[in-house]
Amino acid sequence: MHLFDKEQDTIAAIATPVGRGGIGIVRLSGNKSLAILRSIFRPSNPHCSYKSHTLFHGFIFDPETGTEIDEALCVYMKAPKTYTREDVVELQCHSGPAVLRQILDLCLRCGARLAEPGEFTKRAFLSGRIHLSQAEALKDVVDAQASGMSLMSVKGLKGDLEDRFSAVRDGLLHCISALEVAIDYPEDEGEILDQEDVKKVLEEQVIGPVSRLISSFENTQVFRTGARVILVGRPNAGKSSLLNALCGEERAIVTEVPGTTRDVIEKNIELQGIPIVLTDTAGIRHSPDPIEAMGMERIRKLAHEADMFLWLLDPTQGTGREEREVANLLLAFGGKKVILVINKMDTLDEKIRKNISERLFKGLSGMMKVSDLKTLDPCLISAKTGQGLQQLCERIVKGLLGDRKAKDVDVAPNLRQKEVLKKVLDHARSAKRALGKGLSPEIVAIDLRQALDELGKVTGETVTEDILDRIFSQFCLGK
Amino acid sequence: MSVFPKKYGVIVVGAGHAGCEAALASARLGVSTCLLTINLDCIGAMSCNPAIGGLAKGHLVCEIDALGGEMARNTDATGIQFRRLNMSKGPAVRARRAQSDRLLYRLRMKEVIEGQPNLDVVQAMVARLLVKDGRVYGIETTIGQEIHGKKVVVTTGTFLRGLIHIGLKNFPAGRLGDPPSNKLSRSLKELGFDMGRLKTGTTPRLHGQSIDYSNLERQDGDSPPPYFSIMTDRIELPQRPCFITYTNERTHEIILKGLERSPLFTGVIKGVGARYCPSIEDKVFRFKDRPRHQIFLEPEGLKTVEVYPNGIATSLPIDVQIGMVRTIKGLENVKILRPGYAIEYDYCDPIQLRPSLETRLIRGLYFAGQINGTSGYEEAAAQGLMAGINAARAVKDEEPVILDRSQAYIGVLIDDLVTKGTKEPYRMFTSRAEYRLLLREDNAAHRLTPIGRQIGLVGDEQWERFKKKSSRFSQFMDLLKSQRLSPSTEINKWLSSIGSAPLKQGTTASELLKRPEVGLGDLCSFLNLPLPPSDIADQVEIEAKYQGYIKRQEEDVLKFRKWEGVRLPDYLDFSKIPGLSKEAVEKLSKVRPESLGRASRISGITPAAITAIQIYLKKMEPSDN
Repeated sequence: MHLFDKEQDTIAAIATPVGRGGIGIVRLSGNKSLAILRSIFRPSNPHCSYKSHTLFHGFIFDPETGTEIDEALCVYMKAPKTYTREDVVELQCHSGPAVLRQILDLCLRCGARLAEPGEFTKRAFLSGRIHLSQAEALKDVVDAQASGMSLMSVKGLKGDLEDRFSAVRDGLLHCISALEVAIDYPEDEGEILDQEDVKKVLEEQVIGPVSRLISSFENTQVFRTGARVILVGRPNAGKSSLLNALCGEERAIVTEVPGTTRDVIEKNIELQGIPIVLTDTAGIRHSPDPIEAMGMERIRKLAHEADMFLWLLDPTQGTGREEREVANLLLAFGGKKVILVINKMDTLDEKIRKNISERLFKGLSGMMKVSDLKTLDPCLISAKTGQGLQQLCERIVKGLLGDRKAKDVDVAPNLRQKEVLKKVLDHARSAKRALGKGLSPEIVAIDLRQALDELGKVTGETVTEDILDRIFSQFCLGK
Repeated sequence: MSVFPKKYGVIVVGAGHAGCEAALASARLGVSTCLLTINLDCIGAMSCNPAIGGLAKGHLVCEIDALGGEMARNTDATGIQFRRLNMSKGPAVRARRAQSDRLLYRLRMKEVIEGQPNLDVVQAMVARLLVKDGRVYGIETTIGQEIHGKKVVVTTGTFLRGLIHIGLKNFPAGRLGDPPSNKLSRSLKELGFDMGRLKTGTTPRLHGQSIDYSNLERQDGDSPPPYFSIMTDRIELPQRPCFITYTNERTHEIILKGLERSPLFTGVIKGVGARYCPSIEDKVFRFKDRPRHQIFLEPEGLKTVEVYPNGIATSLPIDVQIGMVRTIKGLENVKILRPGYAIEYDYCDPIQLRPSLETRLIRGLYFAGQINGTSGYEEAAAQGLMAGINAARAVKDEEPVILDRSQAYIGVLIDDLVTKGTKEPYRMFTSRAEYRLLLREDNAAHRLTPIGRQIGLVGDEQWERFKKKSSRFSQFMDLLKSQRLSPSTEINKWLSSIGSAPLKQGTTASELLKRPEVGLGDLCSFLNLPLPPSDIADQVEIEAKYQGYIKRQEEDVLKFRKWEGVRLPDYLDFSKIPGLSKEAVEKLSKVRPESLGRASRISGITPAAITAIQIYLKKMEPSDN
């Protein structure tokens, strides 16, 4: 039956090609579209009516934390005059792929489902929105769906991950067959339901592993959504040189980000598989005020998106008003990772070079807590000669990954699989609650069957026959 | 060659549990019907154990009754023990089970058949089906007589090329003591049906007076007996107990030693047996660490000494059978009256049927019961009833009645058979029903009697009884809703005595019933209310306690119905649908699903295939622009 469950869902996807274009669009279709929009969008005009087919300006925020995520334009298009003939919402953002994924994730958290490949077109056609002449291309929709599905099927899983999914399936089957035997064979001795065993297996083979799989998705999120690294520091500390140097590094793959409408320079690089957006805010407008020249206002706007700051110090200039400004900013966004970078090492003579860290730290110690300062193990580089750049790259990767290893991503589920696992987890927990309340096995079985159905979207469908096979291979039944 | 002087609307071949329901339904719908049987003395014979009902099977019996069938009434009239299973679990999985007097069961069924207007019963063996232009018009018997009829329902049970095995000896038979039907099997094959071979088995029958019951566990029926039919007022026959005993290590030793002469283990039997109805040798061999297996000693009837030892079906040689049973407690000196045996028989893969149970190959020809690969009296009767109804309706040019998976176990059964086919004997389980909470014994009448009434199978008396029962249910619900309860020492004392939290504010009796630990029985006795009959009590309790889950299943049913409602036209050529894999085209063409919902249940049909069909259907629609 789960083939059809999805038809009523509100679906969401990033509608623009990844990594191309300065505008990214997240699109929603289905009857929950407007409700989802309302829960994640704060219009600039508080009296916003969401009049159909009209653009509104505002900010996207995380309803749980209240954090602002991006500035955006949104349009709500009421059914039926839309592409799918359902309610459609489009969110137009100006940020890179990482933020787009974050916004998509918000929509999913608020009740949308990730769209299948070609699903918007499929809905458009089935609702009669696209005409016969356009319908020939629809074979591609089916093909896309077929290939999308096969990617999600057992074949699409590799090694470890496949084992983990099938162990979860096994655990579910174990619990279901124990319940079903108790229901259908009440007179068979020795096949009495062992509630404790079911609870134990449910916890140890289903709930535990599924929660771990979900958190391994979250742990490896950085590989999929990438990270934003912001360069800060006084004018002429060498931010643009460092930006260019990092892009010029052989290890980094660079793509231009055209059409950027903000007053920032952004470069996409990739370090050990992590997509990174390097952002430099200054150098576009020259201002007589050095603080304004640092682009502090723009940095503040971007800072909540940052995963890491690179704080550049200029040893030829020492520390001063500008550094205090940066320290305050970092304090305000406490908890974000910071790497202190001392640039222009090539310009220093031997004597100064030796104790340069101590000298600069002395200057900083008046601006921030000593304990904070201690964590800022500085990286000594020269953007000009390339000295220390490799170490800096390693520090960036290490800072973003923590204890995690690049290879962990292989055993983490992808977004689609994670969405499935979340539903599996919900049902498994609800079954466990029902068991705890002492509800009858046929009631507990409802959630377990639904968990198995959900899991089937990844592992391939489990049919009644599979359950019966399990029952008759495991239990001696029948008079 | 002669032609029988009377021409019938419906001819039913075989008078077992499927055939009797088919013939009665057809005749009761006003169609002239002829029932053919190899042996007039064996109408409604219980070839295996003398019990009706059990989990999912009891549900089927209640559904048959709700539609106006006979099985429940016949069981109630001849039952010598009635129990309700799973009383510790929720109402959806409680089921009735009865022991019947084997002899009385078939005598009463014969009486009902003989007294049924519009129904003739004839002893004859059918040699072949008469078919012209892809349409059946009658049958020819083995003594060269043709009987003509517009529709034919074939319910041959285990008789098609039946072959009985006892040890390495085997002989053709339809059941021990009756001849097989070999020519009809050939006729079906010649018509082009895809046939397979299945196997089932039964136990030796024991002499009751040679059993020492003194140290065996006794199991009595429930009191009062939980009978099946809405038409029954009381159980007339005296009630009898069953006894429980067990095999032991010595029994298993003898069985394992006998395996070298087992037709099952030496490969003589080719037919596929059911895993859920294993022989004792199978159980002992496959579950070697089980120290014992349970046996129910079931009385075969009031006036016979025969006892049916349920749990030791076997096809081992007779000397092994004797040796094995005599190791069992209570059976040390037992006499075997009839040997246990295995029987192989032909069946037609039911994937060749329409949901009406009419064959796709031959118009007017219907199959029901074991010929469709099922096992069990109840499964057979359910199909017989539907085939009889649909054959009679076809005679009258009426649409077939198709129950869906959300309406009845009968719907689940037939949908499974015609959508997936079967390679082993198919038995009903509650786990096969997606909407298990909605398909209960207690609401079978509520689900199906209006349908039975509408098609004309439910008579006036049954209809009156049903209406009375419905109104008692709603009156009782209203009563519970109107009972206001306010927190008092008395009520809180009672609540704490059953382990329930005290009341803090006023509520109603129906709200209180939602608590899992508050049973309807306790509640009624506390409030001094009369406890309603069990069906009504179950209905009240489940609606109170499982409201959330019921609602979820009802929502699922709405979705399910939506896709059942998307019809696939008869002329649809699946090979013309772009994007369908070759495998999908093959499967769809074989099953020819009537709806998109059914297409999705065919094994191996992917979401992508369903999308392809949806898109194709949309393209066939006239453009709305």
